[in-house]
Amino acid sequence: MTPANSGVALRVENLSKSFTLHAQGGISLPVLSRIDMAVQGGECVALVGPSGAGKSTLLKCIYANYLSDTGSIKMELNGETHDILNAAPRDIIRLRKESIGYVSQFLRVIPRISALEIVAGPLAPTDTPKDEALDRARTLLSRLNIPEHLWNLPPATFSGGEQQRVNIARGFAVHYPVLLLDEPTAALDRNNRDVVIELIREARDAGAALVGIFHDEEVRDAVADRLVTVQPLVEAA
Amino acid sequence: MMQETEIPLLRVSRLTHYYDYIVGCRNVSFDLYPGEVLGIVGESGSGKSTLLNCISARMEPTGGSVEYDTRAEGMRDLFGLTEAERRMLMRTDWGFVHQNPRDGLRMSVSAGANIGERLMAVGARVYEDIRESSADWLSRVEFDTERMDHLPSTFSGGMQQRVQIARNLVTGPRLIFMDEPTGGLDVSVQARLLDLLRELVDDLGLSAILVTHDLAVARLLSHRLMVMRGGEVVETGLTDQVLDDPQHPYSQLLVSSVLQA
Amino acid sequence: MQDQTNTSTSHSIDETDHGYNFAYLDEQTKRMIRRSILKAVAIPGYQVPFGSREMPLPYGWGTGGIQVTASIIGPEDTLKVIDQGADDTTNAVSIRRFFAHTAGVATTETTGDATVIQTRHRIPETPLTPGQILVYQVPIPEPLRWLEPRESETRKMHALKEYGIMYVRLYEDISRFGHISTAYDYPVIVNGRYLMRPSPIPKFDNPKMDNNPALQLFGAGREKRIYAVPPYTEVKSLDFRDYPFQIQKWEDSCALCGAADSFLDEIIIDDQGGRMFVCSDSHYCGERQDAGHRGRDPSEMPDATPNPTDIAETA
Repeated sequence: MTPANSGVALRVENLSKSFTLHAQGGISLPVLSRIDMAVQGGECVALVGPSGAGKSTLLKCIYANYLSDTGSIKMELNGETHDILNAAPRDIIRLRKESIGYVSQFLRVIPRISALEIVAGPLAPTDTPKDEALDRARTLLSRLNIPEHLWNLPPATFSGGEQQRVNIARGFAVHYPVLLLDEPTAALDRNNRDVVIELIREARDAGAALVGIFHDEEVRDAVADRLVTVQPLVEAA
Repeated sequence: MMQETEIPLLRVSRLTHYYDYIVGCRNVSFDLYPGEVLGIVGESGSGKSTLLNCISARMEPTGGSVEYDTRAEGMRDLFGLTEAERRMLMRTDWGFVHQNPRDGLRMSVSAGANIGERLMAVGARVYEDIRESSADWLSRVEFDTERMDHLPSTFSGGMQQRVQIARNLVTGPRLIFMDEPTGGLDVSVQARLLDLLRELVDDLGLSAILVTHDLAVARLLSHRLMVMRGGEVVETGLTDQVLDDPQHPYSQLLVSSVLQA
Repeated sequence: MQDQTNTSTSHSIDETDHGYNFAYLDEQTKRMIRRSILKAVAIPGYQVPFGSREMPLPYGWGTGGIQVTASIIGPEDTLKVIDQGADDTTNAVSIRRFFAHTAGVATTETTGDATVIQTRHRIPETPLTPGQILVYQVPIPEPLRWLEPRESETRKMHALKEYGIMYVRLYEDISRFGHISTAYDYPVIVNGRYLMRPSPIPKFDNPKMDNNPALQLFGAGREKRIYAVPPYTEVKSLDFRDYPFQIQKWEDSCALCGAADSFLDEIIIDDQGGRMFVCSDSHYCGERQDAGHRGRDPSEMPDATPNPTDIAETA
């Protein structure tokens, strides 16, 4: 679909991350140690490992939501290399606008904004015309089975499942070359889960590099080309 | 990436202000780029208001410099400008949204005149044009233009704040300073106003410096955060990174002491 | 100043009280005031502070104007004093007698005969001539005061020529009444530089200030300010391009002298709401009547209703 998605690659090298809890006497909790991973465009990689192994932390490090201690995260896009760990905040913001997406299962509700506007929102800073953006939002909402009468309401009062689906629609609005998925299908019914599987496959086939956490093995088998295991570290004594 | 070729709109270097021997803020440096919203958070007395007053030229700092990319002459030291130039800058290329609308509005003249004043100050002399601009900006801040001839004292706090925002935006500024812009409002009004601010800043590509103690407000509006304590910046970074993975002991304390940001 | 030997001039030298210094003020005070006046003339429209003295009448009765007059008047001068255009009201009579008493100068009611005219709230209808000095009594000199209470700030605004706020007032007039309803004390820009408050003269008189051959001096006793418009100086009334400055107009002419070009006062003549319009400038009116001009008989007049503009303006 988007030619920009060709020639994308995500490379994580020797990545370590720990949390220092100053409120608890400055103890350090190592979460990731020397992670190496490479994902190409057109590929979907599933992160596996027991709960608490740091899979989500890895995704958040890639999205620059968490700071990493050592190592590097590089994103190659159209011949340019973006060094995520050393990028200025405004460069990260620019990358997040068009190049790197993150879908979690939790919607951060923005007061007073309708579901339709929330889904179309990420398209606003791109060059997409407004009506085209709204069309894309409508398509996604209807594919994810959000009843049409809810589209113009703010999702604050929606059910948990509806909010989750609005958030997924929002995550897929822009054709990001790199897409990070943190359990997008958790707690979805079969019907909607299949829609998400379709969306992931479409993105992959369009050339995006995807990294995801899928607890549901059925979903994982349906979308993942490859598994990367994240091992839990020994608790700091 | 392109950051090398970009020129910051505002450059703050080693800014320090003392009130006699008491530190207001110390050694603060940062660049603000076009379109960027910087949040400054910290508790009362952390120096965030002192910093805001110094960089918005409302107060002359004891040390350091503040440079601004003026339209006419590029980067200029704010305190090297003549007072006339500085005041011109403040009422055209800048805006300042006060927590209390009374500090930013003329309470004895109508909403329309409050907005028109900034235009008249730069030479607008056609009444109908001024009125049209006022009405246009009032509707952009979702204010009922039927009431544009009423005095601000007859408006609710939320409406007053809208008028103040419109008054600041009418001259097409590039940089807006906001001091707890939703501080005095009740929760539902606050949410709507925040949403409006977010939209305006996005649509107009404004740069903004936002001082707040409310981390939820900071998350919603700012791209980047600076955490201040005791007059110094203890941490700075991408907003969601600072809030979700705070590094400094004080930032961790700040983030963990609110219910939900 | 200039010598006057006109029959209408009364020279009541006998009234002079030689117990006072000439024109009441001591010479050092007069020098100080003259210095302020010179500065004011040099910077048209700029308010020069001066050490205002206690005068033997209360503030608000023209103490600023009297001090200016006292400082510039000489034994050869002829003084005219008007209050709201009239020579015969209490204030005018008192001030005229004050100077006759303390300076022994000649006084007159004839505009053309006077070398110094002290005025409260009017400019005479008879055009002033070179060499004449018009002294205004000013209650509040600062035009920006209505919106900005801080003197430090208004001075800065003058220094930086930040006068946008003055238009806010005109804007409010138009948005409230559909036209600029400010009828008195209408703000002006002097010599393209300073914003000036022309004391509460009707805006009808504003055009007379522009390029006037006479020297115009303004004294505010309580506020301790003097300002000036030198002869032949541009004085421009503020306005909007789509709401240009306009002076008051009346449908009627003066009931006494028939003048259609002078500022008219409305006078209630009975308990039935009957009224008439007469010249506010009593000397101008009298001169016209002496020359045989007469107003129309009030009974022949159509209903003497001023046009709608005037209702708002005099409100």
